[in-house]
Amino acid sequence: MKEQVMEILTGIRGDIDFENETKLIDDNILASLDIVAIVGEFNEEFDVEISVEDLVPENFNSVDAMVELITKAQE
Amino acid sequence: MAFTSFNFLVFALITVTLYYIMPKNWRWFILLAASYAFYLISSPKTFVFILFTTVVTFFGGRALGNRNREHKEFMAAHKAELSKEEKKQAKADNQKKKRKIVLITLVCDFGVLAALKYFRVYLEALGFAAFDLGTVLIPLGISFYTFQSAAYIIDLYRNKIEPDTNIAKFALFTSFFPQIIQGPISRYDQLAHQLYEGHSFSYKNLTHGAQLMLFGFFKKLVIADRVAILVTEVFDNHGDYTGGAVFVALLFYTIQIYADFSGGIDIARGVAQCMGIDMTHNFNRPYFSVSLSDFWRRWHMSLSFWCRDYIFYPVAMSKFFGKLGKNLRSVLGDRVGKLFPVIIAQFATFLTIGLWHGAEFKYIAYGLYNGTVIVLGLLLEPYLEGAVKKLHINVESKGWKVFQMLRTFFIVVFGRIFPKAASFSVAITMFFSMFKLNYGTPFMETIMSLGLNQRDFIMLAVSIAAWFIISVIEERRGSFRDFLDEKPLVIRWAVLLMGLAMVMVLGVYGPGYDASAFIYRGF
Amino acid sequence: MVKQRGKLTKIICVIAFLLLTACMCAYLFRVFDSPTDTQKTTNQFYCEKEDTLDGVYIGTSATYRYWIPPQAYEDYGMCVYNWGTASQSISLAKFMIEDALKTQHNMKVILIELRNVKKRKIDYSSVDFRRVTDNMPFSMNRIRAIDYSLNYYQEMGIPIDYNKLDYYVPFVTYHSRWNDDIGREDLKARKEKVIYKGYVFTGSLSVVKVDEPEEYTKEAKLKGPTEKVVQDLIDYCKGLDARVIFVASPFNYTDEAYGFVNTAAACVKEEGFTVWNFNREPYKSRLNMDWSSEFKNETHANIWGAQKYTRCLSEMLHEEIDLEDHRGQRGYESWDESMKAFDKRLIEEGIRNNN
Repeated sequence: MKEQVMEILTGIRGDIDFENETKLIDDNILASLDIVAIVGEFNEEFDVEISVEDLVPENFNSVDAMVELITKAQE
Repeated sequence: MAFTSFNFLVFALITVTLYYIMPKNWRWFILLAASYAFYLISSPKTFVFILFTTVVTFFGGRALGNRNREHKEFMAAHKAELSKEEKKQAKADNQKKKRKIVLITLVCDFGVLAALKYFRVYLEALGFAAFDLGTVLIPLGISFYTFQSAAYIIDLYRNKIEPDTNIAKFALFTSFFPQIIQGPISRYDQLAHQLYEGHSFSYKNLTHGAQLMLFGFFKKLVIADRVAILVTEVFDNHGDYTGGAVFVALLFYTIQIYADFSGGIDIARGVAQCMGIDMTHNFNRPYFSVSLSDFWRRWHMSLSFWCRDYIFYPVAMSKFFGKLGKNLRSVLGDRVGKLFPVIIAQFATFLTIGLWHGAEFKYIAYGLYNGTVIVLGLLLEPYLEGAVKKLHINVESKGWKVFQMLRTFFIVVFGRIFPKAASFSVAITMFFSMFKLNYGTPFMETIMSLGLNQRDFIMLAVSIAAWFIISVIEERRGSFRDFLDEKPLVIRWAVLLMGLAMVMVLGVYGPGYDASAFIYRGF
Repeated sequence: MVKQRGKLTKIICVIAFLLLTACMCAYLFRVFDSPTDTQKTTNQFYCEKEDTLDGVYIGTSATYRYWIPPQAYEDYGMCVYNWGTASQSISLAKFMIEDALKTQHNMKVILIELRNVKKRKIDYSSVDFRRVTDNMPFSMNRIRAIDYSLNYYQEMGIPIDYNKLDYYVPFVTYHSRWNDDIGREDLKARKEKVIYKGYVFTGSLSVVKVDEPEEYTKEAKLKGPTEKVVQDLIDYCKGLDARVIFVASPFNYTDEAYGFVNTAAACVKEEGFTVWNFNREPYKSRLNMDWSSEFKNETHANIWGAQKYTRCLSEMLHEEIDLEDHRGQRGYESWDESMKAFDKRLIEEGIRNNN
């Protein structure tokens, strides 16, 4: 799953080093438009329903956090 | 009570002193007493409204908290037995119940706001001028505390926070005096615990807080109130001015609004810091922005982040608009269809930001202006990127960054004519009058006749330069006060005393001095 | 140990910084104060050595254009300070006397000018009392002087700034002088003073022929608030040890003006105070001003007129009150200096010969 997530992320923002960043939200690296696009792609690709309530920094600060979010949402 | 008044300084001094005299557990109570005292001094007749919002929001919050807790306990107890669908159904049922509570609470809160601040304007616009509502006073800070209360409720709905169980403490959260005049709009999880826990005396907090207040006074009294003289002269008598004078007034207004607003926020945050409370930032050197979107992440940040979290995301991620966008793909094209919810969300956001300022159409126009520019930017993104590539522009270069900053700055400057002008039609007239060159009076003569003389302009240039330097230092080093702490004592004290002297001497306050009145009469 | 030292250092730092701030504020308050010209007479008064004055003469330009203290000192050795300021408000009189009594306990006579009551409403300005209150040292008396004067003006319906802070702390008003008339001299923050003990020599050399007015004996009713102020002043003076004499120097103006002065004089006389109204007999004849050569305009004497007036008034004071002759006494050096300076000036201007 991680590779799929990475593909989506780099497709939206090719300029960010997602491998190493752990403060994507806290440091304002990802903008709100990016988040919307990312969530849209996640919802489509993994057949989940990530909603506004899930938009907390802990869930999007790093790739691993996002993978965990998707996994939880699939339950 | 205005921030830049002698009374407020005395008030702040008394409050901070009492805060540290009180035992730690009771320090929050001093804050509540001070906040209510402040409110009763400033706007006694409308006190009942903030009480109403406090009570309604508190009990609405408690109800939501109960729903959350019950659901959690239910799920914990029956996790094993229930299927996925049943779990989903339980969740949906709970959401429905919660939505009802949210609806009632928000209708009450926003209803008061709408009735007091907006309905009157619309009734008048619809010709009900004869319907005399009397002098309805708008409660102090109603927009701020209403939006803050709404955020609290929605965060509870989203199960993000625990509800407040002490109505007195919650009253403090709603009415905290430094933020009641002009924000920032705080979040419960960021501010509440800071208010409730008593803070120990900290030399750094006290000195840095006082320094921040001094800076706020500097921006407001020396810069904002000075440029205001010229701005008021042109905007109040817009019929008399065209061409360069209007443009200069608009430029000065852009400086005024930033100096005034951020200065007030600095005073608020400074007072709070003296008591160990860190209020959220509202400005991040906005005129260094490289795009209008960037600008709205740096200007009135608490409002734009509120809109992002409670309007933009819900609309942009809503299934309804998503489906609508998909269906419209045949008409709008693939890309735009996909962006459709985002576009609607942007307009919703900026409409809110526009309306936040007031009910008149010019504020709606302001919101739409910003929304349109940003949406256009979104839609044209691929084409603009292509053009940049074709022209071989180096996007990493300093020159390009400066260009972006200037471009953004002027987009912002022109947008400001909407909220400042007397009305939408006046705004349009004034905008076009900027291009009417006035061959009558020479430009410099006109500028010198708007209420500021040469010394004023020189002092403005000096103070704005000082502010600019401080901003650049902050942009690079993070905090000017930390930067100053590192410097030798003599330098630090010199800077602070100079700042104080500038505020005392150059500040626009007092009745002014009329030399002619002193000439011996009846000699 | 280290922690404690850190704390002590911080406390010392804070106190030092606050002291530095206080010094800076004191300096700024001195620089941005009342424009220099209006300060001088008041500044000089507060520089007078304690318990040296025999009396003080309070009033407007009707005082500072007429009474020459160094001349009276030269002739009789009396020290009566001329505390006249332009267009002074009558509401100030009792507070000025109160302040004077703080440092001058041996005063035997207080002269209060009555011409003040004829001021037209259009001539009222906050500067009238600011000229004094801005330069009085801070005290409760000063605050009361400001409150009382503001109240008087409000009752008279004068449109001025009624924000008290602007008067209590003159800096609030005058800091905007940075944009106007602050110059290098102001930055030196020195207290400017005068040499002739309050008599204003500048502009006293012109001669204008004025018609000699006839004595006007009727009265004109004073405005309510003014009447009240006069009554308050009378009540205050009743409690003083010093002899209070109300004076009105000679002028040529409207009948109504004379009427106002007459009314005030009558009020005062009724309460048992002495009035020397030089516009009425027998004082008019005794003074015997030469209206063709001793005035600079219809309401102010020139240097020659002032010399005559001072000669007459000091003679009357000498007859009426037992005032000590301070010439040559220790502690009165400033009066000797003033007398010498005045003589020198008269010689320079060719008014007196070198003998």
